[in-house]
Amino acid sequence: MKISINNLSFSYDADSILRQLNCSFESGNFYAILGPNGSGKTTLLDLIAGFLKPCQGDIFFDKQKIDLLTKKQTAKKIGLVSQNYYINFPFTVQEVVMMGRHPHIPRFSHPSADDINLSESVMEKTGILHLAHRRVTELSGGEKQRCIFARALCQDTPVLLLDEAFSNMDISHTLQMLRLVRQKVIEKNLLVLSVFHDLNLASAWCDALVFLKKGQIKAFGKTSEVMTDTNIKTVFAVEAKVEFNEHVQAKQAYFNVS
Amino acid sequence: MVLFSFFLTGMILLSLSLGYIKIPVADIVKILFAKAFGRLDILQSTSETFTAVIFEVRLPRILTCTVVGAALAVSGTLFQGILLNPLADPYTLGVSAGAAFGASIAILLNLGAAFVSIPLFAFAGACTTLFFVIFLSYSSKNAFSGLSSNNLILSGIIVAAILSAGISFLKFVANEQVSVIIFWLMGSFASKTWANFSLVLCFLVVGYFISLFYARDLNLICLGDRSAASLGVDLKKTTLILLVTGSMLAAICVSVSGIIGFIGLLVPHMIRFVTGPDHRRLIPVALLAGGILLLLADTVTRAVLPHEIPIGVLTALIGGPVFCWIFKKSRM
Repeated sequence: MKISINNLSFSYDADSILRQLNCSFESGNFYAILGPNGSGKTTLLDLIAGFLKPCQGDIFFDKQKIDLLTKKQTAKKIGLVSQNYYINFPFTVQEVVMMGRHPHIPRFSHPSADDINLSESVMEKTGILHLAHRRVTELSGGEKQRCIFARALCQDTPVLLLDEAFSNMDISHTLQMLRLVRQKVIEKNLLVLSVFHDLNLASAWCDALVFLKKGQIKAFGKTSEVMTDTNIKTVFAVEAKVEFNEHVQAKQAYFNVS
Repeated sequence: MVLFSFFLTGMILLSLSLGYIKIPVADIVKILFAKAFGRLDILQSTSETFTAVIFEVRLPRILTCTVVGAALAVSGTLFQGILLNPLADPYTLGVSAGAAFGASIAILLNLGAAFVSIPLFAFAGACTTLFFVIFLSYSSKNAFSGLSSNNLILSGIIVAAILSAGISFLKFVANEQVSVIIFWLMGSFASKTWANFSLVLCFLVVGYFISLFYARDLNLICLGDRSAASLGVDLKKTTLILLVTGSMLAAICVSVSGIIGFIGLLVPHMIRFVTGPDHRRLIPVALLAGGILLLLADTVTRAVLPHEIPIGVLTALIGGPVFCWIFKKSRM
């Protein structure tokens, strides 16, 4: 499966957010989207997920234009963990995770045994099985994020979009989720696009990096090739030293303190 | 749910027996049974006054009250879900203010003589308000900001504020008719007819099935707009349908019985403690509970209190403190 973006532009009223993007993403890869605040990362994910309509240009899913798919068809192809994980109503964790099966369960019918098994195995893998009957309103930020993450995995889609999905998790859970994502990418040939703020985490785990700045792609390529001090300097305006780290087995950036 | 249905039936029977003329529950069952199965021979053992009181006076009022309570509760549940705000109620979008304004105009122009026209004006007022509020908050450009809960609540508040000023002005102009307006606004179930009952019932049945049809989508909408959309909910369409359904339920209730507060706010809250927030369970139980609660209030004002006080006042007087108690308790 392949997502191709052709000459994509988007703006809210007068402010242009994305300007003439051209790129493509392929299955079996874990991509990181990097860029300063307000560079259009979330907007790009919203456009791919079909919530926003492009002002110009097209997004293709293999050969199919994305806005020709129905909402339900899109939901079977693209899962999303959004930045905002705030839930106002006291659903239980189990109920929220099961909502991930929504596009697969016909109206008025109950979840099948397969649906229940899948949701339980996902909860176990994300380490929230012991929280299954707790209310989401009572969970901590990281626990809530894991619950939302489990819901997206439960949706069982070939494409997964992560918008700062790990921002409130502790390091051990972050690594556990990243391991889970990479395992899915390898075993199930998933296409994962994830917004990161931690360059080193992205470099260690992702196959390719996309650097966005002011709605334009500044660099896009294999991690080992585009993770350079010049790219970091142009995109974030920060001096960095980039070196291969034996322990991580990837390039890592070091920033000076002063 | 079975428990609630049982409770509602019991409440209706009890309510039928209470009042100026006390009627034993056994007689009521006999009369209802006789009417339902056409066994008029049983009726001979009971008094004819009882039959008349039940069928001409009490039953229409009690049933209207029950369906209005049920409709308000369902409407409140829908609004709290769509607006992602447990503090929303059927009147958040200004439907009540619109209905009150329509009714005030009808009363002021003395159209009340035509009997049907006050409810009709109220309903028209409510619908106009609803569509104006939707028009105000709708923007075609952006999928997210159009019909978002903040936009809707804000538009509703603005429109309601303008309309209440309008109502105050109408009251000021109305002179001696001002008391009629005030009494109408406070709500009452006195002298409701079978026609009132069947009208509200029609709306309730249609509204209830639409709500149940979209109950699962409503659950997802509660998770937030992006999550709902990524799980395959057509956000704009579903929100609009449920919004119109909830408002129509509220509008018909206000038109028939005036502004009755707190049922739409309180019932979904209380029932959420029992059933959890899943709308597939919440909506049916809230429907029954709304009927029970409003009937209880109406029976109190009709049969227990020495003087009948407006039902809208009573629900707020009882509902307010109960709400405070629940609110405080859930925070501890």
